[in-house]
Amino acid sequence: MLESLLLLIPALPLFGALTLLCLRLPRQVATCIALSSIGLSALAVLFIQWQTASDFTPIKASWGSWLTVDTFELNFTFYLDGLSLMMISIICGVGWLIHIFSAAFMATDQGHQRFFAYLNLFVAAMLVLVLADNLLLLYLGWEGVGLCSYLLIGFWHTKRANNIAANKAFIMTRVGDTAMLIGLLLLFWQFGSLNIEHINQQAAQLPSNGELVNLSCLLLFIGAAGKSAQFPLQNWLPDAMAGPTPVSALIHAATMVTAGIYLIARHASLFASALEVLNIIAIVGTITLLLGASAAMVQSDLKRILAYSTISQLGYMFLALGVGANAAASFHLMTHAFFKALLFLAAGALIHCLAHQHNIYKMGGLLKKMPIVSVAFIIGCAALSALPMLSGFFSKELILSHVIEQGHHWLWLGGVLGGFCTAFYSARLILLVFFGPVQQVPDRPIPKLMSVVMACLILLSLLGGILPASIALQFPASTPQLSLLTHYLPIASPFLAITLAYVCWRRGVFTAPITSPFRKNFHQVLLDGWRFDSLYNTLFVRPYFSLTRINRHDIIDTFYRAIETMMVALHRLSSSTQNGSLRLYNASIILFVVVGVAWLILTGGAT
Amino acid sequence: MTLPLSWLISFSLALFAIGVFGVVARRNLIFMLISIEIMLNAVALLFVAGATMHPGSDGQIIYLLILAMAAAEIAIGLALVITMFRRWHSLDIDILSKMRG
Repeated sequence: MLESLLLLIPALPLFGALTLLCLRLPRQVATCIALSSIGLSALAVLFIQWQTASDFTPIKASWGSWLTVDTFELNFTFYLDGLSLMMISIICGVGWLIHIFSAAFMATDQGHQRFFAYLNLFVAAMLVLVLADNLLLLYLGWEGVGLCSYLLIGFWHTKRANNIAANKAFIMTRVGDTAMLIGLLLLFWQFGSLNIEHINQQAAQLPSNGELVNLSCLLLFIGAAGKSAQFPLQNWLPDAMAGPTPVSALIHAATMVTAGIYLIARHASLFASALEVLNIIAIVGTITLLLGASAAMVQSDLKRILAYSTISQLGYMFLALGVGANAAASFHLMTHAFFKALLFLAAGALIHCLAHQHNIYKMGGLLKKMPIVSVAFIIGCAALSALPMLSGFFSKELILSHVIEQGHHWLWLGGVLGGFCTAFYSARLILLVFFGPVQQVPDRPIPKLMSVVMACLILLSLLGGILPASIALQFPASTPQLSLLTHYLPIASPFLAITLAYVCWRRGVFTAPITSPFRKNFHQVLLDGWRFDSLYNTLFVRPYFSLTRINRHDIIDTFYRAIETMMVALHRLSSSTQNGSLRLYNASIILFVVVGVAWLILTGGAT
Repeated sequence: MTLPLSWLISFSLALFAIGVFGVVARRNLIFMLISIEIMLNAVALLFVAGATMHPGSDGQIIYLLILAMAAAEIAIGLALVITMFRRWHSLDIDILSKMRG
């Protein structure tokens, strides 16, 4: 029973996607198919959760065989344990809410059916990714979500900037994917199997810090960093905001970018035997969270603020993974999916009603004009800044307490500083958009459907702070003992940040022009996300272009072209003798005979 | 009085070379035919000279064969020359070679 339900969960969105891609349907029917396919999957997930609430044993089910080579077998097998149950709940639950929101958001768009086809395909690929029982199937889903991300970022393909952003996202994640594929093959070489359970079991018996294990873990982590926008592959995410806002909510905040965290949490035992890589992960996570939070403090584009905030929150999750707190990372993944989806959808509603205005400096005083969006934003930002008793608070506290328990004082300090910045930019966002003088009035009311979806997500952000039992079961963890400082500093710092932001706002610091050149430059550097784009341009893109310019006529081909030229010359030479002049023919025959006979005579006719 | 064989061979070689030169150097088709006749006669002379050296009548038989062949060849060749002259109003081989083989 549960097995067949499990098989149905990824099959339904896939079916929906194929139907929408192949058939030309009326608008209502297309929407209906898209929503119902995900909705039914969500119901199935709910049913599985209800059935397994009391005692949970992993469920396995298979679509059939994929490929068989000698004794090596690959199947379309799905494996459901606590971690993947949480993931599919997020994907189907939040995914369904976002689908409903999209129905209102894309109501008048021309490419409405194409949009839902891609969105359904994305959900199907993401479900395959998290349910996969072997690494190759996981990789299939991994590439599938990458493809859908590309298609959806460039959804409004008539604008050139969108296509460039889509290409950038695809190519940057491709860098990580390639590393991941190599890591995957290395794992296969070591363990002779791609089955994730098998690899985890085998890895637990290996001596820790083996060179090969370290290398393959590092490669897997690079793949995860590419997908989850971690330093140094983080700069595609802000540009990915070119897509429709529900896409940003679903793919670039709630689900796809968390695939990297899922990948590492999934291979927890494997990574546990690669301590050096875990340290790298923790450090990269901290760098990313500071980098994202600092860049978010100065952005003026509403969606870019949220994008940088996503990068920074993903950094928290990697920090947690790096110190071995898989439960905390998964927990934060879940709460982040709730409040970030809420924030993005609220931003989508805001942009929808403000005639596609993205600039927060041109908004203001919207608190009374759009009460539901305001509440959504305030709850979302409060959860994001980890104000006590909201969902984000519990997960972030759990992460920071694990970090300090493992004795990483500097990383802990980085995390607290990141939390401070997070609260600061959240407060700045709220103050600039919803308070102060009114600058632009909404030109249409918020569609009802959007309000309902936001209300659901508000509830989830408020009440989502309960660690799912399945996660706690899968990654048992002790409750860390904290000193007074380490307990209260992370709680107090968001309040300090909010106060600071309020003071700055009252004095008009945010809107005042910057005078000192140093501050201006620094502001610009932050605005450009620490200039990683120009760094990569000088390091990779420009050398590559100059190489291609040198190689425009294909250097290796010159050899083959020389052969061709020689052949043509020989052809000219020999065809020039075929000129139809009888006298020349005669002369050449005679010349040949004379030379031939002379040669015969001189050599004495010897053969 | 008998001529030495070497004279005969040298004479026929010289005749043959003259014929060859005529075929290659001349542009008029009639002169080329005449040159071919000269070459044939040079060869025929060589056969006759050879026949005096050897018992048997092979040389004379071959000479008769060459004579008959030369007659046939010149008959066809002249017929062709007349047709070509009617058609092209010229017997210059370089002009005729625009028939391209």
